[in-house]
Amino acid sequence: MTALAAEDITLVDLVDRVLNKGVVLTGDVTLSVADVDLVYVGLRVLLASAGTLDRLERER
Amino acid sequence: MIRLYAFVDGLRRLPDGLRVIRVEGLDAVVGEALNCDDQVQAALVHGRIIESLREHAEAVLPVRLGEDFADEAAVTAAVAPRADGLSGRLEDVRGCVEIGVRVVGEVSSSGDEPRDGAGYMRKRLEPFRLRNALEESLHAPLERRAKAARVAPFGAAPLILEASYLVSAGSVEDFADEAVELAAAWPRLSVTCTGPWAPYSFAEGED
Amino acid sequence: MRDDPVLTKLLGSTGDLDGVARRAGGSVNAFPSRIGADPETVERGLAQLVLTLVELLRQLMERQALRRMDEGVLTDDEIDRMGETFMKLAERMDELKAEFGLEDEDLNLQLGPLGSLL
Repeated sequence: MTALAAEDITLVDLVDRVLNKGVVLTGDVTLSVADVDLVYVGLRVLLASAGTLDRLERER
Repeated sequence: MIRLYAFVDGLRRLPDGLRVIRVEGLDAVVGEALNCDDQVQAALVHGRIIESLREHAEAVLPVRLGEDFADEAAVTAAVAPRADGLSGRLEDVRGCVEIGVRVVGEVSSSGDEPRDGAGYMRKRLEPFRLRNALEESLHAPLERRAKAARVAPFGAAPLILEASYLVSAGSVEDFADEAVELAAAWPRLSVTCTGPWAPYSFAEGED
Repeated sequence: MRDDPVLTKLLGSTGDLDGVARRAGGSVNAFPSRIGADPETVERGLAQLVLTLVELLRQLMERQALRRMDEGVLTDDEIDRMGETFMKLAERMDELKAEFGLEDEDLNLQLGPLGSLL
């Protein structure tokens, strides 16, 4: 495997972590229309529930 | 705009251009938000800063890219209500780093396109079983070795399994060796192990 | 980027990594940007959000069904009917994605603004 290939692989891992993981303070998904932020907090709860449901089902 | 990079404890060296705001006993590392059109470049810059903090602190809790605030008062207002939880998680990751494992591979197709529902389900059963087998033989042993683990619930083909493990900074090499050893049982799949990373995946608690 | 210390973090690997890397290089460009502000992208952004949710639910339900199938608690008829439903759902998703010009990567559940929630 080339050094460039190794870098491409680690680049994905880094960018994924920086963009999608880490502490979130200002809300998750923000749609802005004419400078008005619409923050979908409800979406976060829904998706977290879906993830938990899957986990619980597997641990059954 | 002020950008929040991470919460730290025992920081020995502050990168240029950054400063620390103290909120409810927490050290928050901030700097001027940089405008960058290329999201990948922005991610690289953000990542470099966080990894530098990781190397020079006893504990670091990364903040996601894009947590920008108008001023220090806004940072304090956003952090203060979460301070207890954040302090707890900062403690949980003290002296620890994150290792990422990805398993990629083409799941052999049984040839024909499914013509009915039963055929479709039979075809979907293969990757489902493969993933279960990987969780049992690759992920479970690693999870037992680690302080904590996070598994992404789904993989978009050809990604079959993706997980992050929280391990002590001193045990990175041993952990990686074990991952590669366990991966040897799956010669048809590609397994990559990256790290050490700051504990991005363990910065938010499990819901 | 060559020799960037933040990227020299491959601890170990097995298998055909050049193939993986080629795909990785491509997928980096597919990281969806924060959903945009101008009117043209708002509709597409909403579609991306909604379709990602639908895809998530579809995968969840499919996995539940596969689990039961693997446990042997489904009748042949149930398996067939479920499979038909999931197939139709997947087809409809492809049509909707095409309508909004969205690729699989745009709905990639590993990446994107919703990734951390999973």
